[in-house]
Amino acid sequence: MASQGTEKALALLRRLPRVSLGNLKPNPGAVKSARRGRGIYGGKTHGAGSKGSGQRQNFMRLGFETGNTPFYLRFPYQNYYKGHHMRLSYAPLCMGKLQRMIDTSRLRTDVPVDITQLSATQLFSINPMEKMGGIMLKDEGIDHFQATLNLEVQWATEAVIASVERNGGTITVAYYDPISLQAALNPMAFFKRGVAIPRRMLPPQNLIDYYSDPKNRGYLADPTEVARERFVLAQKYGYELPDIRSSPNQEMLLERKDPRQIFYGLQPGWVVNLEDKVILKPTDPELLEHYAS
Amino acid sequence: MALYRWLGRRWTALGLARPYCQSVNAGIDETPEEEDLIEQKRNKSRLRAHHYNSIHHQLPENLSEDEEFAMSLRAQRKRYGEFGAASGINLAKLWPSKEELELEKEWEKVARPHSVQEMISIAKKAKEDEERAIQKRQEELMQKVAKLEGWKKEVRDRIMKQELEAQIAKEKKEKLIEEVRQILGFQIDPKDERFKEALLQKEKEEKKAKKEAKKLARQKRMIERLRQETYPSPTPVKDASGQSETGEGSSISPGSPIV
Repeated sequence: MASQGTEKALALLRRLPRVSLGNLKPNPGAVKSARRGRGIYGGKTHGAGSKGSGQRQNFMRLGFETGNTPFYLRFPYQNYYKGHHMRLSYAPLCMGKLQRMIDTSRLRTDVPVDITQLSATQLFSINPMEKMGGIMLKDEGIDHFQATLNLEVQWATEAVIASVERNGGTITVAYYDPISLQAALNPMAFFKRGVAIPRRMLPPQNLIDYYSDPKNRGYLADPTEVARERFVLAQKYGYELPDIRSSPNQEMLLERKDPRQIFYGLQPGWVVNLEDKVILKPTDPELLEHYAS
Repeated sequence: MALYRWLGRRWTALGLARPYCQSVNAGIDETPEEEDLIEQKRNKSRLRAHHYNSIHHQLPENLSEDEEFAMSLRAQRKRYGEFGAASGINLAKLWPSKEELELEKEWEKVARPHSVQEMISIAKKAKEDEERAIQKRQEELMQKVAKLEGWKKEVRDRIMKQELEAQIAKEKKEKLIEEVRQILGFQIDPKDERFKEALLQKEKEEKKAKKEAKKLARQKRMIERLRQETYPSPTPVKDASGQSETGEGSSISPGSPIV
């Protein structure tokens, strides 16, 4: 026989037309009142105990160990965290979630899907100031992934690449430096600042290896080598490599950004104004040279 | 002029002079027109001017020269970003100035001193160096592992030898002590002075006996050799360079080693 709690829950489900926060309440004892005790049983010490620092409201600070060097001060460094300030972290996105987003029309696949499109779903919190590099794709759900799309993320593994290419899509991994990433995550806010679109910086030395490797479909890799790796991967995972050139949205699938470009269709150096709906391009030769380099 | 405008804004904020104004280009020393008055009366929001402008996304008055001078580039660019050409900001300000451009270039030079190709080659070289170092270490290890059994055996032999020597010495000592005890009796402590003297004497005697034995053995060997000379054996005897100790006069002495 089920417990009392389960019975009550089932009775609720039968009775209520819909279950929401408006007609549910927490279990008794789950929520403790923050108010100080008054009156008959909350009286006398009013929840403060007797004598001591507790009653006299003279609490020791968090971590204080009555004088000896506290745990949080004992270790000036830990080798596990060496260089952690120079390492990037990425917001995980598993393939199952990606498929769900596409199926529920939260993400459109008729345009190239990059960090801007993914950020527009408002399902990710990526903070470049917290040393986050962007989005990484995870292996879970690769077996059920069925969408065809032009994907650009910041980190992807072999299995993920295989699952995307098997369905006739393309995938690229690209690096965005913090300023470019901030612009890409929220283009509207960026345009409201009234500044020229900056050039995207190259990856730092420790990441150049990853982004120039055709196996990872790096955006700095040689396209011919990437094509070869596509074929090799298809052989490895045992699927027939679909022909992208014969597909209807061939153009969209093959659209790629320049390594210095942040937005599709916009060059560095342009100023976009949302109020007047204009794009301003610089004419000064020095600026042109700088933005074209 | 600018001062009055500033003062007007202050009074407006404080709610003293025309608190509910929302006109775009009205100066406080101009008499308000019919339409403006009507507009003011329509506005019942009781909001401050800047709040009203903010909510209705309206441009406050365009910047005066002094304000332009004082307002930061960043703020002016933001103004343009919000309101477009109507903000009256000079479009040239939107791109980096000469100083800003220099700073950007310097930043990039320091942060990314190498080009893409250079970075890739550096990474490749570093990888290769690592591989080479690993290979070298592996080879060294292989060589050492080959010698490992030999080293183990050496260690074991050394230990065994040490143990054996210790045992032999101990046995000898015990024997001497026993012999001395035989002579002096069992009551006397080995550490006693007399015992020690007796022990020393015993050892001396032992050494002497040994020497004598050695001498004898050598003499015996000599005799054997001479006998071999007189009655030669099938195997030929080599010519020797050393002289015989006992001086037995033979010029022919074999070259067998003296133990």
